[in-house]
Formats: sequence, C-alpha cells, structure tokens
Amino acid sequence: MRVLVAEDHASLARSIANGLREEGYAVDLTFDGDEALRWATINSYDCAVLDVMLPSKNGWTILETLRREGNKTPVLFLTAKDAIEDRVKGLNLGADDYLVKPFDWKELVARVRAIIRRRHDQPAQTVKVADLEIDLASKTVHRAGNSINLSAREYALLEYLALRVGQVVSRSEIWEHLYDQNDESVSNVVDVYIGYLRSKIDRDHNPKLIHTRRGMGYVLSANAT
Amino acid sequence: MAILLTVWAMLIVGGLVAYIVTRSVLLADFDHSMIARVRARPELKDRPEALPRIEESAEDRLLIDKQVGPNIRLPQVLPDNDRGPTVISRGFVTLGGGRRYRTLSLRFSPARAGGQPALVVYSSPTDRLDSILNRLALSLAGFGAAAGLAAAAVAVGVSRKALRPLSQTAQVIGEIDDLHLDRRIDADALPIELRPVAGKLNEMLERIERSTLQRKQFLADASHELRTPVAALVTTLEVALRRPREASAYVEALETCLSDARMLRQLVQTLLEHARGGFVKEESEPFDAAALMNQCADVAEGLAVPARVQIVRNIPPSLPVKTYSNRLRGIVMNLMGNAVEHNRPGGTVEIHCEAQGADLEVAITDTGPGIAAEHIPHLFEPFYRVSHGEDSSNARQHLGLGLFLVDSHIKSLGGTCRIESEVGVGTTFRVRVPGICTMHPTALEASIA
Repeated sequence: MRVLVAEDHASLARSIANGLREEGYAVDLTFDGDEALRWATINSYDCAVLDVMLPSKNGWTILETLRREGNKTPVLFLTAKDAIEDRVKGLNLGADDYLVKPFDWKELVARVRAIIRRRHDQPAQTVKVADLEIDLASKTVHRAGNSINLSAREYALLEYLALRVGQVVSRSEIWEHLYDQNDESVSNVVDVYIGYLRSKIDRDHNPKLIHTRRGMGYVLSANAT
Repeated sequence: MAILLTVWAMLIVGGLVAYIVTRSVLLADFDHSMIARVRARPELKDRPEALPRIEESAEDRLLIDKQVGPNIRLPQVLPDNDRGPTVISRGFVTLGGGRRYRTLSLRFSPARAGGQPALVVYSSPTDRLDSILNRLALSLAGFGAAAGLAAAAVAVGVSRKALRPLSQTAQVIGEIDDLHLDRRIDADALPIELRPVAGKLNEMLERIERSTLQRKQFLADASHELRTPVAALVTTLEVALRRPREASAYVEALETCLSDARMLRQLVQTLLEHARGGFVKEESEPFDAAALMNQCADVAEGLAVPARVQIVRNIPPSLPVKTYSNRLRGIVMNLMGNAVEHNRPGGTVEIHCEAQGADLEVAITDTGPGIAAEHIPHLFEPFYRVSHGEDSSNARQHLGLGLFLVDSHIKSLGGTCRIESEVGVGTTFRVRVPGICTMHPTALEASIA
C-alpha cells in the first residue's frame, strides 16, 4: 500500500514516514503543499496523510482540488487545530478522517489501515481465500492452519492482492501501490516477488491461489479460471 | 428632581408675595375706611376744639390733641385747600386686654385761616382684618405644604423611574466578565447627565476587549504551535520504540527528539517572556551601549563562523545610554541571529550603532535573500513565517516569535523599527530607541562601576 505523507515539521514528517515504512507501506514524503498536490495527482495513493497547515498550499485546498478533479484518494488530516469548525470543515470537504496533534502512533496506523480497507471495499479485518487467511490488523498469514512467514515486501504484495481478491491486478498497479518514488528496483521486481509468494503459499498446497493472466497481470482467487 | 424643587420654591415665593400684596391692599383699605370715619365727624370740620380729648366707643378709640406736640414733625407748608388729613404715622399697638389696634396719627389742617391744626390719633381694632390675614396665611401655608408633598411624591416616582435604567446598567456591568466582554451599556437609556460616563465605560470595555482578544489569539496560536513539536516528539519516540534497533538508530531518534525539545523550550521561554513583559517593571539604568553591541557581536560571531558569515562592526568606542539593557540586548541578539541565519555563505552581517539626537540608532544589515514587500507589514505578527521554497523543510524549525518579541521590546522602550529590504540583496532592520545619556563620561563610568 502506498501512502503520501505531507507535513512541514521535518522531524514529525520523517518519523511518520519511517514508522509507516516499518508497517510495510510504501511512503512518499513531502514538506510542501504544492508538491503534495502534484504527487497526489500523478501517483495513485491508497491514503494521503496531510497536515492542514502546509507551506504554499494548505491541506484543505489540496483536498478541494483533488475532489474537484474527481480524484478519490482517501485523505486523513493531521491538524493542530482542534476547534470543532476546523474538523467539520475538513470532513465537509471530503476528508475521510482527521487526527488532532499530538496523536497516538497506534491510532494513526489503525486509522490509515481502516481507510485503506474501506478504499478497497474490504470491511473485514481478515481476508479468506479458500484455506488462506490474511489478518490485516496483525499482518499474519495462515494457510491450512499453519502460520506462513513473509517478508514485509511479500506481505505487502499479498495484502494488495487480497484487498482486490478475485480482480486481475496489473504489474504497473502493483508497482504503483507497493513502491515509493525513491525505489530503484528493476522492472521485473513484481514478477520476482510473485515467485517468492507462490513458493511460500502455493507450492505445498492445493488449490493454487495465485494465478497469472497473461498480458494482464495477476489475480488472487480460489478458482483457476 | 431639580425642576420639581424649583417649581415648589416658586410656589412658596408666589404664596408669600400674594400674602404680602393682599395684606397691604387690605391694610390700605382699612386705613382708608378709618380716615373716612374720622372725617365723617362734623366737629372736626367746624369746631375741632369741641372734640373731646379722648373718646372711646366700643369699637374705636380716638385721641385728639389740639396742640401739636414738639416731637411730632408736621409738614412746613400745607396746601390751603387741603381739608383732608395728612397721615403722619401708622402702626399697630396692643392695648390692655391684648387687643390689637391699627393706629393712625392724622393731622388736620385748620378749617379756617388762623385756626389751629388738629392732631388726631385714631385707633381701631384689627380683629377682623387679622383673622382674614391669618386665614389667608394658613391656607397659603397649607397649599405650599401640599405642593411640597406632591412635588416630593412626583420626585420619588420620577427618580425611581430615572433610576431604573441605572439599575439595569448596574446589572449589565455585573454580568460582564472575560467571557462577555462584548456587552455594552445602552447609553441612550440613561439620563442625559450619565451618558458621558456610560460612553467612557464603553470605551474602556472596548479597550479591554481588544487587548483580551489579542491575548486570547496569542494563547490560541501558541497552544496551536505547541502541538506540532509535541506530536513530533511523541511520534519519533513511539516509532523508535516499536522494535529493537541498532544503537545508531536510537541516537538518531534521540537527536531528532532533542531538536524538537529545544524548539519547545524556546517556545515556552518566549511565551513566559511575553507573559512577563506585561507585568514586571524593570528599572532603566545607565550603561555603555557600545560595549553591549560588542558583546552581542561576539555572540553572533559564534553563530556566524560555522555559517561562513562575516560580522562587520561599526560601533563607536563608547556610547552612554540610559535604558533597559536586557531588552536592548534581546532586540539586538534576535536581529543578529536572524541576520546570520538568513544569509548566504560568504555573506556579511553589519552592526552599526550611533547617537541620533536623543535616540540610539542600531542598524543590522544582512546580505540574505531579502524579504518581499508583501511580507514586511506582517513580520512582527506572532507566529508569522515567511517560507522560502528551497528550505521549506526548515520553515517549521522557526516559531515566528523572534520578531514579535523584538517588536514588543522596542515598543516597551518607546522606540521604532524600520525595515529596508531588497529581494536578492539583503535586509536592514533600523531600530531607534530613546535614551542617549547626556551624563559626563566620568560620572557614567563611576555609575557603571
């Protein structure tokens, strides 16, 4: 999952970005409002964490511009303003959530996760595909009752496929949602990670769950066809 | 109130005048009838000597003296044809039995030429007249008292009515506290005499409301500004503690926290300084401004060397002033710190100070990026920050309170500050504060020592 973080207090911004990366998210970080809007327009984010008071363009203006252009990127506002009217304003503009500074880290992560689940119409905490179980909150994976150990990247890939279970997901979509802009991985990295996932999830089990749709991409599904 | 008293006093005076006029008219009439009665006596006309010396009737008492006494002055010349008596004196006498009489002394010219003039003292009891006058006095006094009572009653009613807006005003004043400073006294409902007072009270409320609003706004801004560094501190620590890390990662996290904690410390100090500024009264003192400027330049040099900025001093050998040294130091240090920070490597910061008449002028000039004209009017507002595109990540490291404090210090010293800036060239802050000392240098040295 790829998250945009826009916060002009440098140390806070870096800590949020580092923390979210450790949670397995691909994070793009900016300190500036104009840049945040530009990035949100060209990249496809699963969630944008925006400070309200950003230099050059404030969070409200960014959200307004995005929604006017039909961009539905979910937005979570970080705000130092706790007046009711400020919160209402953000929500009225189409924000998905807001957190008042200083916030609890676990709460920020939980809300980002919830926003991403809603974004992919996945209301439940766990996704089940045949005998594969993915717990989105604890980030644990079981197949046929056995725990499967995945690296952060592998988990992120599986989570993305699971959130769009039954849908064909293209390589470029996977790339967009799993890697931030500073990532310099080679272009076949998606195929490489699909290979790792298959060896951990499908090799010793039946039915096979990760399928290749030639020329289109990949799909996580209990049915082969 | 005053009008009613006036009306009542006029009624009383009017009553008195009416009484006096009535009394004199009645008396004149009474005298006239007495004279008529005397003249009606036929003896007086033809044979005044035939009159009895004293004649008393039930009513009147007539005393006739044919010889004009030596103590009664008579008119020297009497008109020949004047047969009527001349009134020589009039008055009241109280005779035996306590009865009051009106007494007239009348002089009758002789009826015939060569005859003796006659002096007639005629007294007549005034019971009826007195009783009429007494009744008149009584009824006038009664009327006056009634009018007084009525006036008092009306006055009480009127004043109670006049006091109603006052008590309403008192209620409004009683309701005003720091949450309801927008209340105002309705001056139009008050008696005209109280309107200026109400106006001044409203002006005072206006001033208090304005300064309270400013203070509230500052407090709101300050608490808003506190949230972000606190959030940074907490988030950095929480993220760092999520999993075990190498020592270097902890060091990095702690260093990040330290810089946020320093920012918080500066914010708290500034807040306290600002809060204290309004309450603590310091004493102004004589000191050498040149020495102070050199100290500030020394401190600024410590910041300037790592930034590869040169400090240029343009300070006279001695410049005695009498002002508040701590505030002046705060002003100069803040401006020099800014000048070093917003500069380019290889740039300069010049500190220039001199006496301008009775004022001390300090000019601090940098070779930084300059400030766009639209920002200049806002520079002294609390929490105002000018963001430069290239260092926006550092914009938040500044609270935007330095110049706000500089401004409040300058104002407290009764001084002014002018900003001259050209984008791409640099900025000069020109501060003028009063306080150049006219004291003799040796006396100054002694007082500093």
